[in-house]
Amino acid sequence: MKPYHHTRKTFRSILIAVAAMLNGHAALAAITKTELAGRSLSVYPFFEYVKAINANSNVQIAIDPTRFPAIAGLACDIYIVAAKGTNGWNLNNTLTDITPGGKMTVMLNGPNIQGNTFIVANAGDLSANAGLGLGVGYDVVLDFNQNGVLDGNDFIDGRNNESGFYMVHNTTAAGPEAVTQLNYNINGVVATNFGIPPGFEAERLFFPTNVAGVKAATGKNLPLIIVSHGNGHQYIWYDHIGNHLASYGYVVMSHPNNTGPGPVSASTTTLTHTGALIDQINAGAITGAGALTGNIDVDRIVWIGHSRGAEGVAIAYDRMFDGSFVPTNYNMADIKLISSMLPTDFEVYNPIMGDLHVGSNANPNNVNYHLWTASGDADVSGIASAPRLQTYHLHDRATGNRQSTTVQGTGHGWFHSNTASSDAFTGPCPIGEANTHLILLGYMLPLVKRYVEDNIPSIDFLTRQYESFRPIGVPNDPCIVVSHEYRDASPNTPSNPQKTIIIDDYQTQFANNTSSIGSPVTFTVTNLTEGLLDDNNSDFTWAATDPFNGATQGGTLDNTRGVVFDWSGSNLFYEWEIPVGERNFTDNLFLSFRGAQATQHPNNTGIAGDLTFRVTLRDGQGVPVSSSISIGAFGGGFEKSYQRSGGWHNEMETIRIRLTDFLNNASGIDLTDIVAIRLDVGPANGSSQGRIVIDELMLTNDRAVYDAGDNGDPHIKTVNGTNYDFHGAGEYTLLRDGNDFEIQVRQTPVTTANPIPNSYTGLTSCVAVNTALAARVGTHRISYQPDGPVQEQETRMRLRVDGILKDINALGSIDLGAGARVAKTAVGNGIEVDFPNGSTLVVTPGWWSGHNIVYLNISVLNTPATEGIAGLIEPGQWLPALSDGTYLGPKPASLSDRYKHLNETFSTSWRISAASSLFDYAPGTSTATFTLKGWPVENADTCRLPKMNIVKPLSREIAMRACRGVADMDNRNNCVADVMVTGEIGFAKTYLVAQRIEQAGTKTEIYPVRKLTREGDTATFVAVIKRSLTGQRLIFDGKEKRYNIGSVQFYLNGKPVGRPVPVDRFGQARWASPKLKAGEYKVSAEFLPTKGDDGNLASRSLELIYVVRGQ
Amino acid sequence: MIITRILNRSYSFIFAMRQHLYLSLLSGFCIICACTPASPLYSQTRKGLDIVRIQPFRLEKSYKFDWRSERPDVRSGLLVVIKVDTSQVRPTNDLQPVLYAGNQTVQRINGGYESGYVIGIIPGPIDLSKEPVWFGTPALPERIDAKTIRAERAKAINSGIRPLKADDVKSRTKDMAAVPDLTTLLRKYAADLILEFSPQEKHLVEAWRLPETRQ
Repeated sequence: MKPYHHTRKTFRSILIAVAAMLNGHAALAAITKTELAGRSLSVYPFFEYVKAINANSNVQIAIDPTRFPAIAGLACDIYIVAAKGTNGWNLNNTLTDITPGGKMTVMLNGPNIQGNTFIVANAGDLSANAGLGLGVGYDVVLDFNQNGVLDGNDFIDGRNNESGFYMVHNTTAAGPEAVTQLNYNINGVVATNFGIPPGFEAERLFFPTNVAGVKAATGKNLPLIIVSHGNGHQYIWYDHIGNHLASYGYVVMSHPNNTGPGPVSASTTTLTHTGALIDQINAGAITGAGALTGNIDVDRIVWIGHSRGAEGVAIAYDRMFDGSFVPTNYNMADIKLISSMLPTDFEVYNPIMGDLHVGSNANPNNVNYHLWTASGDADVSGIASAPRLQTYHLHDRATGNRQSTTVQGTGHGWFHSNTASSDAFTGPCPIGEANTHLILLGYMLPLVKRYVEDNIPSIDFLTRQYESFRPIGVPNDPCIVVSHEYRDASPNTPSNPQKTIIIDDYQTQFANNTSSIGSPVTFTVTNLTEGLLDDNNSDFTWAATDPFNGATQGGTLDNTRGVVFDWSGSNLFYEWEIPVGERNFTDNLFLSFRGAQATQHPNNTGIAGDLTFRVTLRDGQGVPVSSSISIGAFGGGFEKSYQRSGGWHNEMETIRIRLTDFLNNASGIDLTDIVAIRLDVGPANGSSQGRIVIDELMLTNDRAVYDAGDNGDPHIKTVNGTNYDFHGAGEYTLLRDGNDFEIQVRQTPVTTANPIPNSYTGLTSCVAVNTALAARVGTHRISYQPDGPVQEQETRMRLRVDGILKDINALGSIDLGAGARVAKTAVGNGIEVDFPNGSTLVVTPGWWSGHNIVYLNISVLNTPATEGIAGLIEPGQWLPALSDGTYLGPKPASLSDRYKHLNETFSTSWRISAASSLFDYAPGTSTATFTLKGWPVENADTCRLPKMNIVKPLSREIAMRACRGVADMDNRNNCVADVMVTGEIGFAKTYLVAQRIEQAGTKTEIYPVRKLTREGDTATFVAVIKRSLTGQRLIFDGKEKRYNIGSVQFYLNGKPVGRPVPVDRFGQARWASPKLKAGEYKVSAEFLPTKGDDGNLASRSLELIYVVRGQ
Repeated sequence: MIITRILNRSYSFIFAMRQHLYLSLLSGFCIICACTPASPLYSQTRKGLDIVRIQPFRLEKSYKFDWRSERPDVRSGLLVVIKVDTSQVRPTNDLQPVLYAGNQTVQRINGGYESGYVIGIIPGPIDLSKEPVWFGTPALPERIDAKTIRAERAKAINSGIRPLKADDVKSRTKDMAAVPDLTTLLRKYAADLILEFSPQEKHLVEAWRLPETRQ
């Protein structure tokens, strides 16, 4: 079925006739944020919502009336608006359409998403001229009350700091900046000091000629990109990369690489040249590059390597990772991305023979890693018999964000620019050096921007199928076949910022009928094997004895695993059951997995192009509902392996399907209760036969949420990690996001011995401490503030919900609806609040005996909020935006101006008003009672307040000893400063308690196995124990020795039932009730960690209301 | 079990490489035969490699020698020009035949694929009329240690590789070059040898002779 498109003109005429029908429509209640922009598809789900749209494509929007019934049949004005961002919209919510035809009025009277798909801009209508950027952002608004303002009933795609969509330009074309190129040798003494081998001192430097202009445009110093060539290559062969990236504002340097001895020696050249370049630029020692002095950003470095040099850059990182190499003027965290072009793999860690070069493994570890593979490579050939020439190993070892790009029809020599040297290519359908360079440059730009600038539209280049989205400049050539893999690092990080849930990565639970998350796997597909993703013989010829034929993701010493299976002529399936506790899919954006056609298998040799099948979700409703999407719906499926020698290595690619796509056109599926994910294969579902590899089934998101902090006296940690002191006295908005999330803090000025300096602001100020907190939690308001007798110390803190006093110590937790709650922390007499938007707030009180006051350490975890005194600091700014969305600009040079910015303009902006306050006040008091304007006093000599004792400071040594257990370096420094200035050792204890809550905190959730129980039946409940910080259940795999993390005590109507049930290795415990009479029951569970186990804290679930029906 | 598997795979690899080379030749593809390492002892090396120029040198400042795993400090040695069969020095990122001289590995300064001449450094005192120079088993030089060198040397001698004649060594040896450091040796002496014997690689000389940054 063709998509149902309407042009703007068509609907403008309809507008007038129906406009009157819309006014005052009561069914809509609030602004709805949802995806709207994208492109239509010819098959279900009929529309793909996207972030990036090529400048040469039209722009479509779609809305499904079956997902949003309230809009069915309504008219609305569609506005394409220059993206404003959260603060911009708050400042000005008027709608100004910027398309040539102006706003477009439509009737949403189609019965399905196809019927409500509209072309809102033609190719070229919207500017994609992003200058140094990748794309120009636009927001889409459906103005239902047609008043030209974003308000009440409207829908928006955008609004926050992620635009609705971005028009992206030709990324293969040079950027706007003229480029200067310099060639020189690093001075011999400097080279020796940094360890550059003699003979390898040369550098070829590319940078934008107008450095000052780039810095002004971006508000930041220029990132560094280092290019390390391969063996037999020359450093002057990468001008295409240097010129391209420099024209977009980067400083690129290519150097001779000591590849002859091997990749470890090459890694040394990369490490030492990086240091020497920084040194020489900062010293102004490079003739002709003076403009760069003081203007390079050593916190943002990219390494690009080729062949042995591509392995070398990974080894270089590994050497820093394990401390065997310590750079002098940059560090491991500064390496934002490594891109390996066609890497060798000599330095694999060998657990039998040991480390050939201690600390020098070809392992990217946790760095953001990208891999290029050329399927026609005749040098690093990928051949089955030589694991050292298989590129994918490095990718699969990476634990950070990782992605790979496989290009068919290209050779090793086409990634550099020397046409006189060998192509090092073999195979059919060559695409040549020119096309290879277009692909290389077209993807390199978004790749770098993704990790150096956290660029949003770049992710489309890395995740969408090549057939549906690719750099504009790459020609439409059937020989050009490109596959992408993409996996975010969340599951491997302590905080799992994207809340990724891994259903099955095959790394644990090796039985064919069990997923790595511990749930059953069933299948009817044939010849199924789980195992190492490693071809077990020396060729790619299919043999039943080599079930992973063509897999080169790992060598014998690696552990990357997956599953293979096949089908032929029948409709078969492979199905994962989703365990109780993970069935709510609404917290994630995408279902993601990777896979490939198994090369040379007879089932695949007859497939002309991509192999397809369907992905099906099934819910747990009484009559289960299923919804299926073909992986080919978005433009392609699993590519046919490159037909070199009859079929070369398996080319993995990642398939990502937006979970809400399964809802389209009244599928009826319940995404809050998905019980199974199934791959349906066979003639009714796509390719009639095939054999495929599958791996890494997960639920994931696109973008990270943030952590912020407000500790001690108070040290603010913004959501993007900047640590600064803010000592204003009064009540402020710490963070807010929309209408249902806000955290306010009360900062109380205190007497201390002397003002203290802050390294970020440069100001030396008297201090305040947090003494109270209030929050908007969905539809509820909570406050946590002292109003008890002073002598009760910490217990003076009182919790109120909607103004009503609650005894949290007695209640344990309070359900605030929509997944929100406030609970007593497991340690430390504080509270922990879960918000509907997924944020978690941890408040840890401490007692300052010197002043008889309670102070609060505050952590906000996993929050999407970006506004407030802990809000996002945009590039070029030194502080978060003001409350009206405007900015103060870069850090002023003079301390006086900084003081005025911070303690006058910024402080006033975020100070709450009586109307906006969420606190509870005693009679006769208000926010004004707690306000002391003018604090901190500029250039104060002393910090004394009336009626407050003078405190005696402590020495740095004592403070450092007290704070040594604080792991986070910023927090440790803050802790030391707090203990010193306040003279109160208890500050260190508070930091440690807060740290323990973050690191060891758990959440207990409870679920019924069956939704319905009849009178006289038993009911089974599952308690799932998860890490608070990550949302991941506490799993330990079967390879570990038997380990008991604790047990769960179940409660029925508030009373303990039975004995505590041990938690199994999948982080869960089950309890079956006795036979129940009809009625309503309250069931809850409490996790009790094993005594002596400091790794986990106790937690208790909310009460589950469970109804047993009569017969 | 795993060791057995590795051994099996190594054996299979050698077989497959030969097969791959054969098939490549048959198919007529022009391949830089990256995935086809040379045989351990190439037949032409039986009579030893021909060294056409020998430049003794002494450095005031030593440097770390990266071409063997012990990474010794080198203060003196020979800068040599070796005539090679280009099949031994095909540029690749895979393993290449390692160039040995006596009890040392040779640091290759250039590639030599186009010219057929490799300019290299042999560390320390060595008498080339008594020590052979040969291409050994493909490997990464940075992994080669004294034990490996001894084994390779024994294989080379057993296969009949002999040193140069003393007269040839004498006639081809230049006067001692005493220079401050390796960088100077490369810029003054190795550069001239590159331009004379392997001018296709003058980019090396151009790089060495670029102006320096200010200290």
